[in-house]
Amino acid sequence: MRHLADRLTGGFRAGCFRVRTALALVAMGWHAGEGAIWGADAVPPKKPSTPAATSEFAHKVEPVLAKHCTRCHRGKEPKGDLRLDQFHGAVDLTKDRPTWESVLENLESHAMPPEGEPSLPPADRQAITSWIEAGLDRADAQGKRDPGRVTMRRLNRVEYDNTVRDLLGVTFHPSDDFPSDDVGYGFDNIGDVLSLPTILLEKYLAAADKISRTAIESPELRQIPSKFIPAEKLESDRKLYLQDGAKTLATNGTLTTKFRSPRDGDYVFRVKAAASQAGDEPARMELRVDKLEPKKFDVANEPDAPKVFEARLHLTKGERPVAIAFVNDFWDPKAPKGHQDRNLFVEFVEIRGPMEMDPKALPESHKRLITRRPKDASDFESTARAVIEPFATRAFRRPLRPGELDRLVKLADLSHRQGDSFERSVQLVVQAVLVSPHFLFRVEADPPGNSKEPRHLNDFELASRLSYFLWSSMPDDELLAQARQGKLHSRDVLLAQVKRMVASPKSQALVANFAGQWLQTRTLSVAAPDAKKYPTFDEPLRAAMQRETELFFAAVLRDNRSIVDFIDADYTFVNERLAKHYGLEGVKGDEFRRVKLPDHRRGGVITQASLLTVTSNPTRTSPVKRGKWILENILGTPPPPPPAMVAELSEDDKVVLSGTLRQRMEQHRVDPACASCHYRMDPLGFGLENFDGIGRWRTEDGKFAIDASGTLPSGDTFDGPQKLKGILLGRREQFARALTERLLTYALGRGLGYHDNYAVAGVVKALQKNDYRIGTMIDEIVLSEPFRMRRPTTRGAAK
Amino acid sequence: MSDKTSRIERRGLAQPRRLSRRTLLRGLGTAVALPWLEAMGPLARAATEGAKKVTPSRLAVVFIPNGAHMADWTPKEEGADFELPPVLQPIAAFKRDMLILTGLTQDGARAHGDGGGDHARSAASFLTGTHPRKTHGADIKAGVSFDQIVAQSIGGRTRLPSLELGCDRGQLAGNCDSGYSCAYSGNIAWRSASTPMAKEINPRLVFERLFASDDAADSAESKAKRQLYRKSVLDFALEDARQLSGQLGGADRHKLDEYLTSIRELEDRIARSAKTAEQGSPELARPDGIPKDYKQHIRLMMDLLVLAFESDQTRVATFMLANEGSNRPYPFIDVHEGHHDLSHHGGSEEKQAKLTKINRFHMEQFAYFLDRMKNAREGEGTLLAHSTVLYGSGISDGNRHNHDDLPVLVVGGGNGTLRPGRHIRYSKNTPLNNLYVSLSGKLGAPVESLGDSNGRLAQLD
Repeated sequence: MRHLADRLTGGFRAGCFRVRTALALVAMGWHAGEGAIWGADAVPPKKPSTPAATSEFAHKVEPVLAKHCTRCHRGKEPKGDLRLDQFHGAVDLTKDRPTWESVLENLESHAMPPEGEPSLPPADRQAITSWIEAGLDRADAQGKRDPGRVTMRRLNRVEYDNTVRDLLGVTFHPSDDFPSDDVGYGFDNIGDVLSLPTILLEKYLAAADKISRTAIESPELRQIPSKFIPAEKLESDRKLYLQDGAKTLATNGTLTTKFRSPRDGDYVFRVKAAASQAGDEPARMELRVDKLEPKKFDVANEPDAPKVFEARLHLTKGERPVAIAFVNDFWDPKAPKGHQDRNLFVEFVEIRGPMEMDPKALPESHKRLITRRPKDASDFESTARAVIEPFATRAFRRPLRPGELDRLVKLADLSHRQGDSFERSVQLVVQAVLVSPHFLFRVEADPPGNSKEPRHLNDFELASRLSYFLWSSMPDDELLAQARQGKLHSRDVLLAQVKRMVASPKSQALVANFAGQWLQTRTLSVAAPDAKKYPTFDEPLRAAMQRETELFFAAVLRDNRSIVDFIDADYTFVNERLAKHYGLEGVKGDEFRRVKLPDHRRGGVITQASLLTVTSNPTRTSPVKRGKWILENILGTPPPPPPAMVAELSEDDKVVLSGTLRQRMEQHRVDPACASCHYRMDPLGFGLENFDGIGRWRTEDGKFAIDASGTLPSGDTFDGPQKLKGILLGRREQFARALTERLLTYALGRGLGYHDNYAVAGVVKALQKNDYRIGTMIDEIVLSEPFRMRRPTTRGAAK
Repeated sequence: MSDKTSRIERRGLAQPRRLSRRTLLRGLGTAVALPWLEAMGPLARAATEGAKKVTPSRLAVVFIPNGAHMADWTPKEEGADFELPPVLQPIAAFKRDMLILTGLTQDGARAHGDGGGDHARSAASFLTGTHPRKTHGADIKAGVSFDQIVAQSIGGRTRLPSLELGCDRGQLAGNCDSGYSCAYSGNIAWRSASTPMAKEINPRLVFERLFASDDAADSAESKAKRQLYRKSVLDFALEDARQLSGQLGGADRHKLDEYLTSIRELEDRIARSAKTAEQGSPELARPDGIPKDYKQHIRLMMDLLVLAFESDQTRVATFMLANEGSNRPYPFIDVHEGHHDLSHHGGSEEKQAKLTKINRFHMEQFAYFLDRMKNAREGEGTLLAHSTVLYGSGISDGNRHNHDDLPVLVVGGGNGTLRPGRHIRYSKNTPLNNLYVSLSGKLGAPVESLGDSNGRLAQLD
């Protein structure tokens, strides 16, 4: 997405590594007075379409390709699977768009030609890239746009939990047991990155098993309530020895506890015990429950082989005493060693029950799913069909295809023929559905035939895109109903649904997952500020920092405010702990509340403690990380990565104490290899030096006064965060584009390419007309072609 | 009887309860019954299954991030007579069990025109010897890793072909390293060029995966029935996937292939377990979760790894002590700065001293692991003697990010295939993968080449 900026630089090059973006920025508006990158019209400026556009290839591009590229990229087995020797004369690049986009990307990033090959003169590189860019722009403007292709997305951890919650009403978090999802393009919902190693499938199977048993109760696999009383919790009238988890009854006596049965029914008492044997009879143990007839056991097993002794008793509802008694103590000092002493060892008492199912106590999910039961065997299949179909339809987020229901019913029948209850059979079906690729993946299949034309998603696919974007979960009944009626794709219906969904509490998912990653509040949970350097940092503060940022983002979303609030705002959300951290007075208690901020030093996400902390090192601030974050997320112009093998900043503690970090870093920037980027990152970061490594306001670092002044490459100067934010506010168009790119990436679950520029520009244009309201951004993303459409495979199927 | 009562009251004694033989799991703070372990062991199992008693070979890889302070790592002398530098001193007790291999290079980690991102590349290439594709996400590509090559060959003999462990979960947000997806810096094991093997970081889950997959509710159904159902569920999923595959192209197809591979592997596992008798779980308290204390966390994982080997749940394992590029501070050894931050020491002696401290800390944990391995008897020898344990990093000096002269140790007897107790120096730019090619043969999974290997590593035996 940097290409657009680059395009306008018109051949501006330097002899340094990958500085195109930096220079682009300088050339295009980072200089004061040159205005924004995007003017009033957000559509990319079009280059004149010349009739000779195709012959431009023959004249300017083909010779360069022949000289620098086709030695490797030719023939039947071209390097990198990219063949470039078949293009001659009047080439229409829209016919091989992925090829040319790939060429553009590789040239932009200077990945090609590779090291060791003759380098490509800047003018030659430019010849190719301008031809491609002009051609792509022309194609986009003329309507031959590429909506892109999202790789089939596996549900990530959060989506899995939410989907299971909405599908079955199961509220535990099965994904706590899943391995973490890898992050790509800054988010953990990227189809290409979400892989499925065996360990995960193993977890899916286990989770499906557990979920099916939690959602439905079957007599076979019922989770029977159980009360476990370890030996140490068993009471006695004298002090008894606890050894290796067992209590020893060395003389006749009892261990007691109390048990409250929740309702009338059968209860199974389980006592794990062993005994040292002596005399001519085994140790005798009695289970005495209230006034019921005691249950008697011979405990003939030796201490190293404890056994569980069971008894089933019918109890009425209510509390009663339970005792374990040792009744035949024995001791004979004259007996041979090892046969002198009879003692009882008790490890635990467990009470399970009631053993009968209670139709009134079935979980909601059970009642919702098992809407009817078969009357007899002849009724089984039709009942199974009626119960399974609505469930599977919701689970697959679309109507079932021919044959799908039959196969599921067959599975139920397998269990039925094993003699299982109806409930157990449905459990098995639920389990199978939860590991089906149609549940685990969001499938957007290619239509049959070899069409290369992008297609509109069908309404069910669209419903899923919407719900996973805004809720990180499956579509609800209303969305599915709209899809079923074929209404969802219409603009008005779509926008009405977006409005409804944003207003729903489920949109909290967008805060937690989008904002949590964009603003890195998720990373806060593992940030480790040094306790010595920052003694005031503790868990309540960590939690408060995160809450502030979440509440702030949620407020912007809920009130449909301008995204400019993210850069600077005169309000935020604090509790007493955070207010103290910020030096704000008059806030008492743990409750968060909205407060008006006294000055513009603090305000907006950049100056929130959460972000300031995650962009710091454990013992100090990192102006580079902070500057980089602003470049990437506010200005949308990430610096290129540092050159390999260049020694990084050397700043030992001495320097920090005696000189300043700033001086040291300025030295660093003398090196031209570093300068090109650091002169963009560092000043931005130094503008925030008044905030320490956990975001507290400060005016001194050690013995030295903070210098938060800076000069940007544009020549703009500032002193302190307030002025810095002022400058950033002037770049709001740039910010709008940057945030649109982030949100679109998240919404689509793929990295953006050149072909998405048109859509991004469209969103930005709408934002400019609507005071940059966040609601507009969401609406326009949902309406955009990349969100509603899909390109079929254009290159051969993967192996 | 009053005699007895008064004796107890007087002396406070009853006959102590005898316990079955147990081996103490120090990190777990609990014990496992020896008879169980012995019954699970490969030798006993071979006996009950009527197979030939062959001591199996195991492979463990322990990975450390951000390189090492090489001045405190590399012994001055070569051969069998060498002095241990400060970083290696914690494993002094294993001097005769170790091979210190100096001068090995992982070329795939170098930039090759891709610019920054040495951390991501070094982890992704460490066991693969390939140059990972630079991407935020689309078209992730590294290579099949050495451990997985071995697992694909010998992993079929155990319930789990391989076990992947770590202490850090994948990154939660943001970018990991200069344009590289986080998949690269958070994984060293790769099943295929595009599928990293996610690692388990929670000791409780490792335990459950190894020993307690069947919980109480399941046992209400017979093993045969459970397996029938599990197989039917997998068959259903497989059929779904098969029907779907015709409708997918490009990367979608590839994702489905990943799914299919995993389904088939689980089906194989069920088929294998149907042949063996049910062993039950060890008498072992389940670990609660992830200990707050990093050292405890590492040791708990090591305990479980040793237990997994002893009970022959797997023969191949990798363990990342931290993700590559980790900026974890080590305040408990008085290192308050982040590890990555420190690794760019810029020649500062103070920072180098702190790096050595971190390196030594990791090495002390490694010593704990080696100690457990050496104390685990197996047949006529020890688990360590029957194992090949690789320890190292894909970066040499964290300040320069160089990938030659890597810190690499091989500890253990390799089931008689290694001649440990030496420091060997190899010529410049010798591929680390040559070591893997050599070891693959010794582990019974011979390959002729792997990644950028150009031969075998000499002098190992």
